[in-house]
Amino acid sequence: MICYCCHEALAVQLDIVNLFSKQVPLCEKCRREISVWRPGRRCASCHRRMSDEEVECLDCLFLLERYQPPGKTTCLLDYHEMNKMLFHRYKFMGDCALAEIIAMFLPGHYGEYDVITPIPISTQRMTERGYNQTAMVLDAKGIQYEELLGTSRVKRQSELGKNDRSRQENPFFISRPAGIEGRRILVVDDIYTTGITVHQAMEKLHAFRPAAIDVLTFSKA
Amino acid sequence: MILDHRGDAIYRTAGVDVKGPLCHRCGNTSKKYFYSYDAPFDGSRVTYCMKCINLGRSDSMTPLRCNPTVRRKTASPYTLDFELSSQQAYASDRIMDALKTGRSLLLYAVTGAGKTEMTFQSIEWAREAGLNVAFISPRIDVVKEVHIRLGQAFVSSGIDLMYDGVKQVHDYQFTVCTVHQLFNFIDHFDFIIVDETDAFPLPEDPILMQAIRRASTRAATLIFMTATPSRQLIREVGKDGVITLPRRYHGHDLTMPKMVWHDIRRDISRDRAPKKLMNLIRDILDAERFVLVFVPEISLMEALFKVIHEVFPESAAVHSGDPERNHKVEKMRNKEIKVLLTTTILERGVTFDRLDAIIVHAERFNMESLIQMCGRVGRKQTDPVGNIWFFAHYQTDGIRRTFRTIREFNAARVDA
Repeated sequence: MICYCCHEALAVQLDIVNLFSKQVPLCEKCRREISVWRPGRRCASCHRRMSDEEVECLDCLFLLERYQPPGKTTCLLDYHEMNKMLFHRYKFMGDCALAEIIAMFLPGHYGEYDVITPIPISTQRMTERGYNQTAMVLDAKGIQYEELLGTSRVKRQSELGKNDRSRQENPFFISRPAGIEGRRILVVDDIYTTGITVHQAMEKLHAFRPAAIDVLTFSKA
Repeated sequence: MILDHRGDAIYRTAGVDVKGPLCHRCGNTSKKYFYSYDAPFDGSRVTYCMKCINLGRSDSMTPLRCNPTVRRKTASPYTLDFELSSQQAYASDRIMDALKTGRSLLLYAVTGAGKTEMTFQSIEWAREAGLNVAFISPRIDVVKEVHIRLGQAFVSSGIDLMYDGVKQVHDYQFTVCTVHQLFNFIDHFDFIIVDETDAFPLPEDPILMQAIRRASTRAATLIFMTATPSRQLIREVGKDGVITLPRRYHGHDLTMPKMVWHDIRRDISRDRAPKKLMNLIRDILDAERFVLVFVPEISLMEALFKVIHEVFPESAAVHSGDPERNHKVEKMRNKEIKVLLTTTILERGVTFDRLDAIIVHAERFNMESLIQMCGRVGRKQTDPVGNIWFFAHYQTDGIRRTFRTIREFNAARVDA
C-alpha cells in the first residue's frame, strides 16, 4: 500500500492497536503536513487569516451587506502550499484517490443536521471531470447527503476575482424544494475563497425557509 | 511522437490497461500505483495511474492522444566566453564522435570539471543535422541551472524547459527537462544528455531508465554524466564507452577532506554546543569565508541550527520541503548568509564563492553523496582549493572510498 499523497510505500507494522482496523492510505509525514495551521489571527466566522490593521474580517463584512450569514462555518484544513497542491491535484488533475485523504479529516457525526447537501457542479463540469469533488469526499466518508441544489454556472470560479463573482447572477437553483422547509441544513463546499459561492447557494435555500443553515468547507483559501 | 492531451492522433484508445495492469504512458505495472473508483457521472469503473498523475491523468476511459515527432534542421550557434581546457576539448571531441557514430558514452568527470560546456559543440552539430536534443537530469535544481547556462550560450535558440508544473515549450526539438517529463515522449529524441545520472531517484527507479530508452530513438546517442558512476552504468556503456576526466576545469587538485572524530549527535542530545564544530565555524568566518554544513537528517539539522544560530546569527538551514529554499540559497550567494546548514539537497548543482564544507556525521552518507559534497568546494577559478572537514563518529567504507577516489583522481594524468 502507498500513501496517496506522496506515493511513498507505507510500512505496515501490525500491532495490537491497528490489528483490526483498516489501514489508511496516508503516511504520518503527510498527515502532519496536511493538518498544519499557519499561525496568525483569524476571523472567528470564516477562519480567514486577517492582516494586523483589520478590526473585523473585511470579507465577512462584504458578505453581510449582501447575504444572510450562516449559523457557523467550519473549516477543516488550512490552505497552505501543501494543501493548495493537494486540492489542485484533486480537482484539476483528476487525482480522485485524494478524496479518501480529505475524507479522513472530516468529522464522523452530523446529528445536529437533518440534511447535508454539497455545492453542485454544472453538467458540463461533471462531463469533463466525471465527479463532483465535494460529494465524492462525502461518499468516501460514507456520509448520506441530498442534492438539493443545481447550478447552471459554467465558468470556473477560480478564474474570477471577488468583484466579478459578486456581480454574477446567482447561478444556483433548487432542484428538490420539498426537503428544505423547517430542516437544519449543512452546506458543504470544497474550498471557501471569498464565500460568495456558499452564500449564493444559501440565498436560494433560505427562500424555502429552512430552520438553520451551517457551512462546512474542506479548506479556506 | 509526443503524448499530449490536445494531440491530433490517438496513440492508445485508453491510457491504462486494466488487465495487467499497465499504464501506457509511464510503463507502470505495479498494482499499488493504480486507483480505481466508480465514476459518479455514469457509474463506470475508472482506473488511473497515480505514478504519472503529475503529467495529467492517464486512465482506462480516456484515449492517450499524441502529436507526431517533427525534426527540423536549425542553425544553433553558441558562444562561450572562455576557451575549453584541453581535457574539456578532448571530451567534447569524444562526445562528437559518439554522436556521429551513434554510440553511447559515460562521462566520468570530477565535480567541477565543466561538464555542461563539453556538450555544446555536439548540441550545435545535432541541431544543424535536425536531430532532437534533450538535456535531462533527475534534479529540478540542476534542470533550472542548466537551462540558464544553455540559454546564455545558445542565445538564438528557443530551449524548452519542463519540470513539475513548469512548461515553457517551443517545439520539443531542444529540451531541458526532468527525467519524469520524458514519459510523454516516444521515439522522439536523437541525442540525450543525462546529467547527474546517479542522483535520486534515477538509480532507484527502473521505470525512469525505461522512460529514457523509450523517449530516445533506436539510433540515439545517450551521454551519461556523473562524478560517481554505478557499476551497472559502466557495464551498460562498456569499458570503451567510459571517458574519465580527472581534472577540474581550472586544473587544480580536488580538495582532500580532513577527518575530525567526533559525535555531534551526542552533544546535541545532551543540550550542549559541539565545541569543535563551533570553533571550526568561527575560524572559517574569521578567514572571511563561507561554509555549507551538511547534516544527514532534518531533525538533527533543526536541533543543530538552534545552537549555531545563537552564536552565528548570519546562518540559515534548508531542506527539500522548505518553501524559502531558493530564497536562502540566493542569500548565501549574495553573502548575506555565511553559514548554511543543509540536507543532501544542496550536494549537487550549486556553486558558491569562497566556500568551505563541513560534513556532520559523515559516516551516515554514502560515497556518492560525500564526493558530491566535497565537489561543492573550490569550484571557482579565484578560489580553487578550499577546505573540507568530515565530522564522523566512526570510520565507514563510504568514507574510506571517498578518500581513495579523490586520491586517485588527483594522481591521475589527463589522457588527452
